[in-house]
Amino acid sequence: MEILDYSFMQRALLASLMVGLVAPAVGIFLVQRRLSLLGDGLGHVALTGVAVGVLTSTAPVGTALVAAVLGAVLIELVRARGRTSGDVALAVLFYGGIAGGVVLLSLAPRGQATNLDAYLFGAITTTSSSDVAVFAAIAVVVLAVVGLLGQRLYAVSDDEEYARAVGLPVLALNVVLAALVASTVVLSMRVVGLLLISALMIVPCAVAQLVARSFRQTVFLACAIGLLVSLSGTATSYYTGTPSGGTIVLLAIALFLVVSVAVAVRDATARRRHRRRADVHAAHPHEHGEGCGHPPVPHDDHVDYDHDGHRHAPHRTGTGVHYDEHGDAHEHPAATPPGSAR
Amino acid sequence: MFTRRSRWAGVALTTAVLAITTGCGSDDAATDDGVQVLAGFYPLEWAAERVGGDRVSVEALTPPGGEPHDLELTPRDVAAVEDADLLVYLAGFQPALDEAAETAGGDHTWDAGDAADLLTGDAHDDEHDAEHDAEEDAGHEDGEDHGHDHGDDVVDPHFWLDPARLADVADALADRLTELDPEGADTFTTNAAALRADLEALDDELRAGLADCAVSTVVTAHDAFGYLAERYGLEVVGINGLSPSAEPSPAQLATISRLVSERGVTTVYTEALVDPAVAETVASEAGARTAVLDPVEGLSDDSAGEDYLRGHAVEPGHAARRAVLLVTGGPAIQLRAASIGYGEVPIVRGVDLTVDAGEAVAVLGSNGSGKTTLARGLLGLATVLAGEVTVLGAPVGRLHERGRVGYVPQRHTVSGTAPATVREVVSVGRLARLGLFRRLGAVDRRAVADAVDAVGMTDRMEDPVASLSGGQQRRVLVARALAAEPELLIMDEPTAGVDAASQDALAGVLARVSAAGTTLLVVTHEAGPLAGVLHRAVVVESGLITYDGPLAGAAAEPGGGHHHGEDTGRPAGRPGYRLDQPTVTAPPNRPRTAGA
Repeated sequence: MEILDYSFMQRALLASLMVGLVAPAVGIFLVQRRLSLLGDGLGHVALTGVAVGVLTSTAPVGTALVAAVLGAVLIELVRARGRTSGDVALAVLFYGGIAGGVVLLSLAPRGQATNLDAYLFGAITTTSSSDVAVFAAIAVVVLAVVGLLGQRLYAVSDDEEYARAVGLPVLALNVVLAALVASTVVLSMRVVGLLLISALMIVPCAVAQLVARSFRQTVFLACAIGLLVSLSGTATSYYTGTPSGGTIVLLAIALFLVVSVAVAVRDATARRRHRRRADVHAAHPHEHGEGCGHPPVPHDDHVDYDHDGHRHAPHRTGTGVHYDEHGDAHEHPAATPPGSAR
Repeated sequence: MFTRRSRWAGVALTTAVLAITTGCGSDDAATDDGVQVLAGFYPLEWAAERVGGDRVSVEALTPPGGEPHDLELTPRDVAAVEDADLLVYLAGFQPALDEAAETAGGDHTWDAGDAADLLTGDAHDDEHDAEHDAEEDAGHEDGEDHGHDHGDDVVDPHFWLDPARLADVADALADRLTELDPEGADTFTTNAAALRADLEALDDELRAGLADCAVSTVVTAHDAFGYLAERYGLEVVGINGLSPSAEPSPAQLATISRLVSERGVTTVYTEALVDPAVAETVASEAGARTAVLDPVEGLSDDSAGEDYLRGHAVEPGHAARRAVLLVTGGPAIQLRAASIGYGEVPIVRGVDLTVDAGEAVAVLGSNGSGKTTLARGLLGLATVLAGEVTVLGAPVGRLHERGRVGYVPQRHTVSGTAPATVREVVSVGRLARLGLFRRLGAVDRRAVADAVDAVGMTDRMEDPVASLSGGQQRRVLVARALAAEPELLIMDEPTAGVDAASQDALAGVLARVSAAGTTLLVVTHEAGPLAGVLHRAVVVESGLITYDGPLAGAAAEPGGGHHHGEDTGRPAGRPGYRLDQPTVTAPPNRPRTAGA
C-alpha cells in the first residue's frame, strides 16, 4: 500500500492506533460519570503546557503532560471541595489554560514560533519517532491502570455516592481517572488535536452504548470502534488531503448517526410487533388462568398460555392484565427498548 | 502486611469456636446397654457423642458453664469414673481428673492427648518474629505462678481448636471404642469419618474466612488459641500468658497495648468463662473493641451456638455474617446529641438514638423532616456537626471498614449511562471488601450470586439493568448492598414507587436478612409494606426524634407521625424526647449479643 511506504505515515498510523485504543477506554468512565467534557477542558489546559514547552525549547509533549495532569488533579480537588463554586472554577481553569497557551505561544521568539493549529487540530504528519515512543509509554501505562483499577473506576463513575458510602477511596480514584484523562489528552494531541480530543473519547463510547448489553462489552466495543475510526480516518485524510483529526471525528460521528438510526428502527419495529401481537389477542379477549382451557406453558418468570399454537404471555400494566404474543422461546418484545431507556 | 482488618480473624475464629450447645448437660440416667463413656469436658464429650452415636452414652464431668481447668470432683464423680466403661480425658488439662483416672480409672481410661500431637507452649514462641520476642516473653513470664493447672512443661492442651487434630482424636477414639464394643466397629468408623468430613469442611471455611484477613495478630486474654494459630498462620498474643485469672503487670499491659496499636489490631477478645476486665483495659488503652472469643472449653447458657459445628451447616456467608455480629456486640448505631447536616447547616439537630445489633428499625417522617439526612450521616455522606455518631462501634468518620455497612440509595433506577448487567452492578457491592487492587475471587462471585438469588433475580443475571422494571432495578440495588454481606443495612425509601409484587419480594428478603442477624435501618415515609419485618419505629420531624417505640405505636399516631399540628401540648421538640410509651423501647426480638 502506498500509504505505508512513507515512514511519517507509518508513525501517524501507529499514533492513531494507540489513540483509538486508549481514548475510548478512558472516555467510557467520563461518559458514565456524565463528565464528557472533562477531556475538552483538560485539552485547553494542556495547551499552556505546550506553550511552555515551546518557549523553553523542551519537548512539548512532556510539558503538556505535566500541565494536563496538574490541571486534572486540581479539577478533582475543586470538585471534591465544594459544589457551588466548582463549575465556575472549572471554567476559569479551562479558559485560563487556553488563554495562557495562546499568549505564551505568541511570546515565542521568531523562527521558533510554532503553528498553533498543529496543536489545536492535530498534525499527525509531523509526529517524530521520539513522540511515538513517548505515546507508546503513555498508552501502556494508561491501559495498565485501566486494567488494574477498571472495576473500581466503574464503581465510582457509576454511583459515586454509593462508592463513598461503602468506603471506596472516591477522591483518589477520581484523581487517578483525571490523570488518565490528562495522559490521554496529551497522547491524542498530535492525532486529533486538543480541541477534538473529547470527541474521540466520547463518541466511540456513545456508539458502543447503543448496542452493548454489559459494561464490559461496552468497553471492548468502544475500543474497537475507536481503533476503527482513528485508523480509517487517518488513512482517509491521506487520500483526501483533509486534516486527520477532523476526518477521524467526522467518521466517528457518522458511525454514531448510522447506529442510532439503526437502533431506533429496530426498536420501532419491536414496538410495532408488540402492538400487533397485542392486537391479535385483543381480537379474542379472554382472561387466561388455571383451567381456562388453554394449556399453560412456563416461560422464564411467567406462564404463557398456548392459544391455538401461539402463546399468550400475561403481564400486569396500569390498566390490568395485558397479553403479549410470545413467539420463539426467548423472544421478549422489549417493553422498554434499550435505546429509549434513557 | 498488617492492616486494621483483624476483624476477619475474629470472624473466622468466632465462627469456629463460638458454637456451644446449651443443652448438653445430659441428665438422663446412663442406660445399661451400650458403652458408657465419661468425658472430661465439652469437646471430648462432643467428639465421643459423635463417634459413639447410638451405641454409646456419654456424660461430661464438667458442668455446663463450668471452667474445666478448675474442675473438682465429688465422691460420686469419682465413683462414676470407676463405673464407666471408658474415661475420655486429657492428661494435664484437669488435674483433679488426672488423679481420679489414676486411682479409680483402672485400665479403662483414654488420654486424648496421645492422639492429638500436642504442642508445647514454647513451640509457639519460637515461631514468632524475633522482633516481637520481647513482647511475647512479657506475655508469658508469669507462667510459674499462674492459676492455669497445665503443669510447668507448658503443653498447650487446646488441641480441639484445630479441626484436623480433633478429627485425629476422633479416629483414635473410634479405635478405642471398637476394643470395648467390637460389634460397633463399623458404626464407629463411619461416624468418625462423618465427623472428619464435617471438621474438614469447617477447616476449609476457616481457611477461606482467614484468607481475607490482613492482620494476622490476635490478641486474647487467654493464650488458648495456639493450635488455631498454628493451623491458620496467625500470631496469638496472650494478654496474660496461659492464665485466665492472673492479673498482668502494668508493664505487660503497656507492652501489649503498644503492640495492639502498632499492629492495627481492632478487637481484643475476651473469653466467655474468663473475667473480661483485663482485655477491656487493653482495649480501651489502645482504642480497640472487645469481643468474645470462645475456646469451647465449656458450656454456658450465654454461649451463642448450639454445638461445636452448628451454624456452619448454613451457607458460609450466613455463618460469617452471624459471627461478625457476635464479634461486634454492642449497639450497631449510636447517636449522642448528634447534629447532622450539610456545610454548616444542621438538619438533624441534637438527637439521641441507640440501635442494637440485630434490630430492624423504620425511620419515619415526612419529606424534609431530616430522616434521610440522619441515614446519610451514618453513611458518612452528610457531616456530623455536633455530638457523636457511632456506627458498628467506631465514630462514623473513623469507621475504616465501611464495607460492613450496606447502603441502598433512594433511587428508582440504577444509575449510569453505559449499559451494565445485573452481575456487574451487584459485583460493585463486593469491591469495598477487597481493597484497592484485589479482583473478585470465587468467594466473592459466590456472594454476588447469592445476593442476586436472594432478591430472586438469578435468571436476569446477565441482562442489562436498563431492561428491568423499576421494581426489579430496586431489587438489584438491594442485591448490590447484600453482596457485601453487611452487618448493618441502611435503605432509603426502598418501597417508594415499587409495585406491590416487588414490595412483597423485598419484605421477604429483608425478613431473611434480619433473621440472619443483620441490623436494618429503613428510611421510609410509610412502613406499611415492611411492617412484618420492622418492629421499631423512629419518627423524625423537623430534625428531631419525636417518637421512638414499637412500629405499631407509630402507626397509631395519625399519619405515622406526619402531622405537626397535633403536637400542641406535648413537649415535643426536645432532643430525644419520646412522645408516648417512653418505657417501651426494647425490641421484641432481642439482638444477638456476645455471650460474655
